[in-house]
Amino acid sequence: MSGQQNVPRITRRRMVVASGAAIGAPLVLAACGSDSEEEERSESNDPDLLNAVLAQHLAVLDAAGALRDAEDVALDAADLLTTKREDSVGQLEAFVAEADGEATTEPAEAAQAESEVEAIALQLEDSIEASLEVIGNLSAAAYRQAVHRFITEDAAALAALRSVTGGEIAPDAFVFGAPTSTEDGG
Amino acid sequence: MSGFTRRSLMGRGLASAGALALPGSLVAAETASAQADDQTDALERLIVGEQAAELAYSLGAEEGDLDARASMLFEEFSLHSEDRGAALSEAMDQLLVDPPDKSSDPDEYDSLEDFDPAGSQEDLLAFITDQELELLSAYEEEVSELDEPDLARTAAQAAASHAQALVALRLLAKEKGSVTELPAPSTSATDSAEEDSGS
Repeated sequence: MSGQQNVPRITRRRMVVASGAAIGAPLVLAACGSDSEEEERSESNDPDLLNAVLAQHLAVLDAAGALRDAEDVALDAADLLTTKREDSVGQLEAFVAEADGEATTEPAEAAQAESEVEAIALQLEDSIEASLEVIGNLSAAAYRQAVHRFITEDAAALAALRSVTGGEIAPDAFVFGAPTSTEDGG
Repeated sequence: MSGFTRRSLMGRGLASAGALALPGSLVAAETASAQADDQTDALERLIVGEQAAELAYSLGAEEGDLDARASMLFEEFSLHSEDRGAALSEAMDQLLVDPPDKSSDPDEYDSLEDFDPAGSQEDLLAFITDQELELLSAYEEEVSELDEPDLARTAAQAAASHAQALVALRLLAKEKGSVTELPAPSTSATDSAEEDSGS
């Protein structure tokens, strides 16, 4: 199973659409009152959903491991992130196996940026968004709790990197990945 | 800071989205009693935590001996907590369970028992950092009780924001050590993993 196939590159534009969907789709569900969220939760979907997160973590691991020269805050964040993602890759592989699936070995598409720090930050934004897309549909509470943890770890690292790149560290009450203020041109 | 900045309005918009995030079927009266259990207990804990954080940030910004940067952060994070508390309260409403009332009295919140809003910046940063750590732990513990997919997603988005606030506070306080270190993982994750796998 290829992470590339399961996890198409999340472009900036797609993030805008995804953010809109995150807001809009529930409104549709609420209005219709006929869509069963339970139908979306199925053990058979777990391997694909977990692999989507795993592919992102493999890409984050590649990006964080490539950081050589940066301010201490960024280096410290990348070091801890590398440790966390080495652990989470193993945990996700175990989850996929437990769910009778085959763990992907393919990282998600690498984010491109002018600097290594910015590249890790973009990769983390992608990772957060991909994880948010799947967390609600994982069938087991343990899987949801683990992915919840991964999202907060990604967000913390992203905040530290933004302190180096000059971005706002904690811009939103609800994190989507990229800051909402830059996603709609604001 | 105006209470109606673009960001706060956007936050309120997201809060509204969170409020409407539950499937329409949930509002059917016959399902209400089934929903008013562990899930709403979890929501109540998170709402109270957000309310306490909102109040602590707000009072700290008003009365604390803060520099301009800290004051701005406290005001902004107070709005964030308000938005999150509102979204979770609306979700609880949709589950036909009354959310906890918000109070402007710190004595109404156990977590603010030792809170001195007129303290020094150092003391306020230390106190509010502990609050953020507690909230992060609370979200991680309670997410396993949030059965609705949209609630699980919203909780993760909220917790991620708390993680970022934690980093901002630590950087402001010039804390030693890793600013991205989070509380130890909830043990309930391991427990529920074992239950889920039947081991």
